[in-house]
Amino acid sequence: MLTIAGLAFREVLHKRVLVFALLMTAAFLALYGLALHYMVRDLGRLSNPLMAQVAVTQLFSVGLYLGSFICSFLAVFSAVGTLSGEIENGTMYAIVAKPIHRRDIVLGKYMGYAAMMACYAAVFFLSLLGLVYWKTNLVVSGIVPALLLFCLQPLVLLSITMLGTSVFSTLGNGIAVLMLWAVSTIGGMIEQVGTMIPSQSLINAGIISSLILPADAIYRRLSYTMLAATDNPVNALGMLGPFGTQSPPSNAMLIYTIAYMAIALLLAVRAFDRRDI
Amino acid sequence: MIIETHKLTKMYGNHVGCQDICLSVAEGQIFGLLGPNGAGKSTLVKMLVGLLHPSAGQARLIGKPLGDIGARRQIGFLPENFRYHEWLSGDELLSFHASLYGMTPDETRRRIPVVLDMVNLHGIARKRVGAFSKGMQQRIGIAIALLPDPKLLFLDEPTSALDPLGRREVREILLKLKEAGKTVFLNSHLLGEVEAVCRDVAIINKGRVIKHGRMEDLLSGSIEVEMRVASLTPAMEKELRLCCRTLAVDGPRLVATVGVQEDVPKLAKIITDHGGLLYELTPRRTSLEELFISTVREGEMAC
Repeated sequence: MLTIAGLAFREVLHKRVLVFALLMTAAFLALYGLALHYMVRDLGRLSNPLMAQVAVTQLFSVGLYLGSFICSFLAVFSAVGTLSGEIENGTMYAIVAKPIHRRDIVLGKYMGYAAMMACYAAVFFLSLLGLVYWKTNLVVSGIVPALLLFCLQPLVLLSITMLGTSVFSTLGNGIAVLMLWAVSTIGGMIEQVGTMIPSQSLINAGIISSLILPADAIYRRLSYTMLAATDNPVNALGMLGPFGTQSPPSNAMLIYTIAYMAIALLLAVRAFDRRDI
Repeated sequence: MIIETHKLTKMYGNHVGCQDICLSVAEGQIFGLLGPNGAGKSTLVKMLVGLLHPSAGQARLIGKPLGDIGARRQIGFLPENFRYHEWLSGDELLSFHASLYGMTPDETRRRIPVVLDMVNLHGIARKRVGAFSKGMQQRIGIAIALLPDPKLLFLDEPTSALDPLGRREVREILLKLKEAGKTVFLNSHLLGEVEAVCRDVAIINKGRVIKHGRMEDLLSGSIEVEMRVASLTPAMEKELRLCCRTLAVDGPRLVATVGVQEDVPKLAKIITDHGGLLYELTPRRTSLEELFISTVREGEMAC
């Protein structure tokens, strides 16, 4: 399993998708830093410090949201054809015939990609946080749990992508996972709107979308962990808008997410085990 | 028997991939599997190496049931239409596959130069696999199959991308492996190649084995003898007809068909005993190509 994991890890390094993602990340952080710089300069002229803090919190939420978006896409595009593509191009023939269990191929690939995604997400998160603190002195709470949640989000998408690639063609899997991701994202936004109105129907729609794919729920939880300290009413204003969190997912949702990933991987192992290569 | 299959069947919905395949392959030989395109050769090989799940039937490799991990450690496989990770170097690719075989780093270091030498592939340690020619890819594929010093080797069209020199080298490798007591299951379209190296063959068509046995037995069904004879007499011709299955006379040119090799000198003796002058006698054994074509056609007519 470790041999396959090592190859998967190195494969991402060799794929252009990571180079492209790193370049885009650097460009994003540079632009984001520039936006922070000008925002801080212009906010200094404001007479209302409350407004300045809300703006900083909002911009940090946008950064986190875009970061989780980039990590999720990287997870999907790295693994979308890892089994189906290798079956289609004939690379898998010589691997499956080796003295290893098929489950080791699925889990090894998952481990390799997961390690790479977790490293990338951690670097991204800490860079973003460092940049915001350097420019705005924004103090946030729960950095460690938030970091873990930030790293967990691409792993949720990775597990469902692994299930897809063990069943569908590369193209079919890509379309299916991105549609699920869209449902999860839109559902998450609807749930926040439902909490503000308030509307139980919209909240329920959001919960159902999180049950279908609990990716956006992880973002909402991490955003709430960092920015919604109950002793700071200003943060409540900062959490308004599509990237903030009015209704944080419960611990049960976190447990559901872990179970969701485990079941997706088990189904992936089962499907690949039964698949004719 | 190193390979035994009993009614091994693969169905794709209503379409037959392979049906009721019963094969026995003795250890220490090169076994040839022949068949026209789409006959089910690759399906059978893929079932044996664990890529396809049989729909019915059983098989044992090296005394173990299909899919046994212990048995797979002793099996090498060169797939047809394969591709390797193009971004790896030759050395990295071999090390990766050695690791999949569970070979230790020491074993891997020792074995890689040996297998590269066997397939005559040098100077590729740092070259990316994506930059290899087709022939080099085929050679490194064979090298990977040879990595664990396997007891049983499945080669699916091993010479398809090789030039005549490369084909000859593969033939020599196969013969060396046979000398070393290995068993090779060779799936090839090149009948001459199979005829040159295989002891047993099976011919498969439309998913079924239609002929299976020792090459010499399959080919010894008849021998065609072409002769050029002067002073042919009716008595000589009558006695020749008694000795052979068929006899065609066209002036001094005679074409006879005999059942066994021992009948060939008998023909010469009849001619000389009757005072005939024998200028030429050429026995021609049925070639594998002729056997293959007639067997496949017979099978198609029977359907």
